[in-house]
Amino acid sequence: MSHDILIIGGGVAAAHFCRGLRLAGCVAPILMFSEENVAPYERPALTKSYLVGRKTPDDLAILKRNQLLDLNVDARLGVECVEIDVDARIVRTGDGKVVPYGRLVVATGLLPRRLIGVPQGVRHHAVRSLWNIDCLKRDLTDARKVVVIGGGWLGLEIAAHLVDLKKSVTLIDAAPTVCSRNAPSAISERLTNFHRMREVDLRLSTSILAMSRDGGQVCVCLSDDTVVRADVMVEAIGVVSKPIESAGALQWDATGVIVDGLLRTNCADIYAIGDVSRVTPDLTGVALRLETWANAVAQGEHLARVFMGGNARFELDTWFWSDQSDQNIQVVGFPHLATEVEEVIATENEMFARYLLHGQLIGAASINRFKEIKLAKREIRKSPFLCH
Amino acid sequence: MKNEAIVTWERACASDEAMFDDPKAVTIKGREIGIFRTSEGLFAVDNICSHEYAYLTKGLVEGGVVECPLHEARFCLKTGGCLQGPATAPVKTFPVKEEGAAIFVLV
Repeated sequence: MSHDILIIGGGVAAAHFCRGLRLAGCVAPILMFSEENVAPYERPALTKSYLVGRKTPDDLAILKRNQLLDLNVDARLGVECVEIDVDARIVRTGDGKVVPYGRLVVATGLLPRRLIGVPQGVRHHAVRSLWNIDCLKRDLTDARKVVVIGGGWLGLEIAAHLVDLKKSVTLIDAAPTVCSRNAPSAISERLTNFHRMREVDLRLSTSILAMSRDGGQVCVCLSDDTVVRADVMVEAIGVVSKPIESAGALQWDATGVIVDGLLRTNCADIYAIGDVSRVTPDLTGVALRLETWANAVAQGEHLARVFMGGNARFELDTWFWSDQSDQNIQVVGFPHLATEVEEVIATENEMFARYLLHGQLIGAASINRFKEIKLAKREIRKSPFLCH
Repeated sequence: MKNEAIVTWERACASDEAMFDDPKAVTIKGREIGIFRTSEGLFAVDNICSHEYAYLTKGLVEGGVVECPLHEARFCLKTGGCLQGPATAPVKTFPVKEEGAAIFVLV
């Protein structure tokens, strides 16, 4: 049977796409393949409230299995897609099925990058899926010392909540600052101080030379001539895209899939949404991958409108937040491109800054200041530079 | 039949603690409640967003609507109804009154 709409992936973007289509009255058959054996769920809480046990898997559900049925979405969970034949308009699955499609939506998300050279028998975990975090939580029960590799947003969230769980935490990053990729320097500095005050052993500008195992512990030899021993190692070193074989037709590489303003790929009737998609805002002129919850939701909903005949270009939603214990950090726009910074609020526990380019607001960042960032978000969302 | 807990008028805060643009977070009988003074009146609602753990009193209030500071879910302060996702469930509302420079909530 040919499915009008075939979605590869069952995460946030896919769920919002399905819901958006049905809310708009679309009755076309929808088939969803997801490698994860879980119905679509919210990921942000995984490294936060779910890690510390304040939420259950049920609390994270976006669409439960029965809700997928109610929406008339044929969700095949735990199924991998191994090939897209663009000419024949079929997808092959890992279990040998051949599935024709009318329109194909790539919503695979991304995979965690993994460390190379981790000794066998060491307890180490990526932080991406519910499964990852469940495995981590199981190993944490009798662990005292944890080493976190990677000082990006996820690494810091994990570190903050491990401290809440009374673990002793060492965090290692080769960059000189935390969240070096996209945090404004004011946020970076504050977070560095925050984690050090909470006795996270933060090793910046430090790289891993070698790893070994000693009993149940991992020994990490560092470039500062020290060795860190830990019961559990957490890998938070970024993400990559794993393209599905398509005989080169679909432009998809380890950085993701480039899409246009209607979320179309270079192949007819193939679209990409969520973390895997790369869009090009006018301001940067470079295709960006936004690995954020807000972007996944916005792209899912936007593609539903496109499928229902809409022709508005997708407007980037650059907003993201991070919760690190009692610190709520929010960033919107492109602070790193600013020529001017206005620190409007800077107290011990709170911060709000506006970032300007030639007098125009292009970004804002806050810690524990909600109304200011909300208003800045609205102002930035109205800016034409976010279109592409 | 289940016994209903006894509901009583409880003092939430002084009148001048819940101002326009500056709602008041209180805890009454173990329940976190937000007191909102708006152009459409005085309201008391559950202060925790029905979606994720966030204080609605830290959100933006416009007219009789509050927007959650974390994910932009919006709730009608009068009815508690969810007007915009990602939340789907409403938040509970409580009768509220103002007497003698203090605000009371029926909890």
